[in-house]
Amino acid sequence: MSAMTLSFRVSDPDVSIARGVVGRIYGYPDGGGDALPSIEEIVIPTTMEDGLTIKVDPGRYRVQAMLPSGTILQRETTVGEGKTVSVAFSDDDVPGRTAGSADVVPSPPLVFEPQARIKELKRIDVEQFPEVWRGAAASLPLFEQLPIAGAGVWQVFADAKRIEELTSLWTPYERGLVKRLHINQGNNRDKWQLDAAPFFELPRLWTLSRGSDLFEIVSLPLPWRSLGDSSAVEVVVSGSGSGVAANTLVSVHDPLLGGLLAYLGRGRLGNVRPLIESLERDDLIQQTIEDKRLNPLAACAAAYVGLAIFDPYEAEKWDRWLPNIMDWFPSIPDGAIVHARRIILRPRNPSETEYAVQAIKEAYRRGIPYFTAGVLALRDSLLLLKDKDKEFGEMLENVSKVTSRLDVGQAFTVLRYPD
Amino acid sequence: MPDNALVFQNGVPNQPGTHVLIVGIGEYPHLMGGAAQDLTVAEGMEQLDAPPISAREMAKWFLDEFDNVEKPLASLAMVLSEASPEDKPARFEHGRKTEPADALPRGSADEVGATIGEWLNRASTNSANQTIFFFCGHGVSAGESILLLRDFGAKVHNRFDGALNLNDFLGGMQTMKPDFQVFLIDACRVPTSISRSVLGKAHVGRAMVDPVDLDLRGGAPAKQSIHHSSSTLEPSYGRLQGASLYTEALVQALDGGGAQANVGYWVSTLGLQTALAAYVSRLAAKEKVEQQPELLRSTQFTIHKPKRLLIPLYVSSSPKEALAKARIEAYLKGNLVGYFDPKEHAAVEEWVVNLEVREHTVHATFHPPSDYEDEPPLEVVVAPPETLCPIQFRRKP
Repeated sequence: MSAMTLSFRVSDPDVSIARGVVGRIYGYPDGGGDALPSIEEIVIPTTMEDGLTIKVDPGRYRVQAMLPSGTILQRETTVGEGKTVSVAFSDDDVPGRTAGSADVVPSPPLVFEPQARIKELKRIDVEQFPEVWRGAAASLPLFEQLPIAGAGVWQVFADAKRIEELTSLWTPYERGLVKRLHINQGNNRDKWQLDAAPFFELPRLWTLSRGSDLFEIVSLPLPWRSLGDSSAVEVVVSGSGSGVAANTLVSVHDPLLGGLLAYLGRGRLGNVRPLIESLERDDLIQQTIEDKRLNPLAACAAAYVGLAIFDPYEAEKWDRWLPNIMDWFPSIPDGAIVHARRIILRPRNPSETEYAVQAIKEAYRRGIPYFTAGVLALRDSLLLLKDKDKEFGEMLENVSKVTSRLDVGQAFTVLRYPD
Repeated sequence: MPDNALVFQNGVPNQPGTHVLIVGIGEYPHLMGGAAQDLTVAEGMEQLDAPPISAREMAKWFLDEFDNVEKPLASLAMVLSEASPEDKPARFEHGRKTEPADALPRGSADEVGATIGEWLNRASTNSANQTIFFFCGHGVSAGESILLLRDFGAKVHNRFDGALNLNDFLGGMQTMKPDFQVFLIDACRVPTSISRSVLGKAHVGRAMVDPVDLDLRGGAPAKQSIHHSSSTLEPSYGRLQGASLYTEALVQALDGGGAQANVGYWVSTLGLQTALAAYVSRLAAKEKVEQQPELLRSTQFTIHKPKRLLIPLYVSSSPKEALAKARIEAYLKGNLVGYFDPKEHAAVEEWVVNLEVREHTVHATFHPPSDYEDEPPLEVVVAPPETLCPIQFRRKP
């Protein structure tokens, strides 16, 4: 039997994602043919180690690696009888790449204005953590959830002036369970890695980054756990193009779900179906939801993608998972949102609408969603069911004001406030 | 009352169809260079060549090439705001048009609203209908996308009354009858100081469509696929006296690049986006700009099945200068289907030829005398959305 070994090597040793990049194999088994080529979709691991080996018939093949950035890398190969051929991609193959694994994990735009302006970011270079952030000069303040619930949260976050007033009252947050490491990457780009111990619950965490003419409030998906282990959350702040100041990007190096998050953050859902199917086949999504030690945020991410790309009637298997995300993780707005969204997309009977209404109200009460997709889905849901509840009109107005500040190009919620 | 925007109509009663609305706004009287320019709102935004040209190209493509046996083309309407020496409405000519199309709406907010209403009336005859909305013109970001219409800036105290709020429009459309809705938005998404002044305010600009009770369409929202020509806060580009980069890419994607094997080589919403990402980036890089299209909220459904699947094959060489001297031929089953010859064609850095999705053979030879060896034939599997064929040429000893 013949085989093909596929791999995607990255230069960043911190990146190792078992299901990293979606691949397509077009081919003519037995060589040549007058018909359209055969096709197989696979998920290529993004790793420094060995790749994925699959059995193929002898023949001629074109292999595509569909990166989250939209770039498509290609290789043409012939597989002989009884042979195993290696097809290796690398982040060095990405045209125009500067540094890092920008095309396979979420990363800020690679092109920076030469005169990018970032002010009021106190940069600190440190080699050891956790001592990093005990000092008052820490440049990535972490803020606990505001002591305001329900409508108050939405009204505060819609108003730049109120955000400014409140942030001026806060002091840098100290808690030994969140470690921070700062890396100055040059080119007006700073990266922080945040790591939380997996066995403690944390309050909702936000951070603030300032540019020359705007500031951004960033929702931090902490703690992020993957199969019991803690994964680092990265916050990168850079100057960006188009005359817009500091742009903050949040990413997660999750060895299982990092690939999915990269596609979600870039809006490249066109290629992500094989990735979701691969996770489902291995019951990883179900495990993520059912094991309380694991990461409900990851389950929400998978749910957002699944609801977006699968036909509602194709995703019936999700029906038993989605209510659990809402019920088991009461602090997460996104859990209630995905549950409501499933009902809206495929109502089984008219009475189910009331469940959707209650889930939407619950999501609103829980506050700003962790995911951009969640904020947009909440607004959509309020719009679609506006006539079903007398409170929805005001809720829609409040959520719309926050949505108008959303950076929709990111997976995690980032709100922008021009000065 | 006749619908002046209607160009083509061929709806078959009780059969689902595809209803297309194309809006191209290039002339903006209140922006820079306009007949009533107002520099306080213009913010450097000028008159545009590309939108009317792009709109005409898209209309021509739909009339000539669109093919969907399940939902054939049932209507096509156009709104065109383009410069005219006599200041007259535009007209559109095509052999397949069934309506006069000699005084197309010029793109004010009222006209666009009325045209959208008529388009929706036609498209709401059957829930299985498909709608395709294409917009090309100025756009800004006020936290959400605002599409500028012809009369943007006409009302000093309500400038955005001459604009379409895309989010509100899409929200209303979700509650409308047609089940399958494609939106192709070819506009910048950059913030301007005027748009930033309304940041945080919801519902800037007109919605054009008010949402109705979902129960009227059976409880579930319509399936939508929303394709932006650029990423958030980024510009889109068009050629001077030519179509936009996005339109060029869109035509190529619809011609076959967006076809997906897992849906029988139909062009689907997700396949379309994969092709657009590849094509727009390449076109932009060639023009030394950056543009990356973005997809928001897409459900997978099929749009159109090309009669022939044509995929661009890009042949490049190492060293680069060798390509300028090489004769490159592409064969399918022994038949020559395309060639490049330096004696007949201008030098290129990369030769592009559109080929069918099949296995081809590429021959690279050199007219004597030459410093390079002829290459043995290369077998190439041509696959969507694009196929690369780099050739390593060898110097003669």
